[in-house]
Amino acid sequence: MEYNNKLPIYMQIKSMIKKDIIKKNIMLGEKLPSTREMAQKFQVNPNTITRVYKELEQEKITFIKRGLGTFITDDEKILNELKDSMGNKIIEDFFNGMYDLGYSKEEILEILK
Amino acid sequence: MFNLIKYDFKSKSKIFLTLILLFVIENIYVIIKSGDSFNVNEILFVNMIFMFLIFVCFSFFLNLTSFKNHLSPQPGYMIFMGNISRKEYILTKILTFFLESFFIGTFIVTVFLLEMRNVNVDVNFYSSFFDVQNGDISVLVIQGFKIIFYLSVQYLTLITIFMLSIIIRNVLLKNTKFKGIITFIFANVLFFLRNYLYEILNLSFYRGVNFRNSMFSNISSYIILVDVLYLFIIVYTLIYLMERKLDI
Amino acid sequence: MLLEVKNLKKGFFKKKVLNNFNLQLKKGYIYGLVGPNGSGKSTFMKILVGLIQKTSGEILFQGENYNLKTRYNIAYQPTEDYFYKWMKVIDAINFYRDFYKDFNKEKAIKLIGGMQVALEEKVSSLSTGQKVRLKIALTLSRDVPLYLLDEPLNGVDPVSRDKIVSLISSELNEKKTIIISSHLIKEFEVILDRVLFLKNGEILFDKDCEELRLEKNMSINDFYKTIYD
Repeated sequence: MEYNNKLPIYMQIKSMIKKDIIKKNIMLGEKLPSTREMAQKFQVNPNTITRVYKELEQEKITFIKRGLGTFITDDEKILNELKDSMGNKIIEDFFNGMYDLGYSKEEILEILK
Repeated sequence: MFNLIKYDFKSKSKIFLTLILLFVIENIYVIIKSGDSFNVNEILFVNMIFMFLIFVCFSFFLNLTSFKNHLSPQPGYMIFMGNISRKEYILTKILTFFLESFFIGTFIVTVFLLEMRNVNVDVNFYSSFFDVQNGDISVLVIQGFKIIFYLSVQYLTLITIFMLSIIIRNVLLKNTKFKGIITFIFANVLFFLRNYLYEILNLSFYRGVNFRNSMFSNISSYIILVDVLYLFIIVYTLIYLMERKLDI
Repeated sequence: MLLEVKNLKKGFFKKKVLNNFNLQLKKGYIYGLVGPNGSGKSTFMKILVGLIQKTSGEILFQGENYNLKTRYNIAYQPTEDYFYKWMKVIDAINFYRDFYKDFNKEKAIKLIGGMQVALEEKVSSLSTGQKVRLKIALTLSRDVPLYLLDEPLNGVDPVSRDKIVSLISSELNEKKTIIISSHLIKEFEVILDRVLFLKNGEILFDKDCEELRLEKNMSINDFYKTIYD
């Protein structure tokens, strides 16, 4: 697995998991593997996965069932919010990239038609 | 401790087997040669002394080289990271060093005595080496033990002085050339120190003026005491340097 | 606090390899000890494991002053060849079994098997990469709180590097701590929790890797270059 070493690894893994949730590779309500299993899958340090899980829980994307492990939320609303925010970020990056090249808003909208 | 001995032995096993083979061949040759001879005592005795010296020298250099090698990463790191303290290491090393030579010597003498079983013992020949005028067995036995004790102390001192020389060289002069010569010089210095000690204490080697054939029976007890004390000093210094000052 | 090193010094007068070396290690993390060749990484590790004597300074392991007992809790993997010249791989394994009470022979054989090193082969005839794999297998098969791996990727081909990196990472749990010393940071970055920069005989930084990436917007490897330029 290749990572961009210039950015925190845990953030990249978090994005990957979020994408998997949006793309329905991971279903709502599904149990996530243990930190050790995840660490082996992503070929990183278990502590990195711990960080990922902690932040996912803080963002309410996952929740912990005591004694059973970490589960994806079954709240559809959160899934949609996630999809929106990730999508918006990509659009924002796209527009910024185009502006950087000198395109105007009108030119961009023309292209998109 | 025994693990260390086990691995030391494994390191030397090939050489030992070769030596045993040579020893067997040599003895067969000598026995055949001395079969009809009238001076069979001399031939067998000389053979024993010869073999004794060769084997003990070989054991000495083998053990000393093994010790020197243990002080470098290969295989020193393995040994000194393991569950053995440096003090335990050095004492085990000295013990096995000494015992190996001791057993070799005993083995050779035993073989000699066995070879002598069917031969007429020439008493005059042997009495020139040992003081057998007084035929009392208990006196002979006590003399024998005194000789063995004295020689053991001397050999132990030889071993430990050379080991200490190697350690001193490793601690003070890590990257010099002519390592062997420097070690030899240190060893000589340590020997001369002991003789100097004799001079300071005004000790002479023999109790009586009777310096004749009975070489060992009249050694001054004071000398033996000083030798034992000097040996302890060398060993303590060895332990101290190993534990506090030596980098592998 | 697993390990506390205070004012460690090694060397005399101008030739001080370590000077004013201070360190605090926490349990359950993988630390990278980085610095150019000759900066004292190996020296530090060898002092911790009793091969080299420190000149002065204090070492506390799990609160206790450094002694023979604490030494047994640390497993060191040297860069040098250190096996008896006559040894085969199985001999090396048996040696570890004889000299370390915490050694797991079955685990070692399993790890070796995974790295394709035959048991009956002479250690001296192994390739550099195979030797490294043997050393790692032996070191990680000891059950201790602290592992010191000295340049564990030196001489290893790129394919095996990944395997070794993930092997090291999978060994970590909350009871163990691993220090990897290396000047090849790129290969290791991913599994490091914290990085220690060694310069002029002392620890310059002790930083969390992810925070460093966030803060400086560069990889640990790039940050290394800015320090040692």
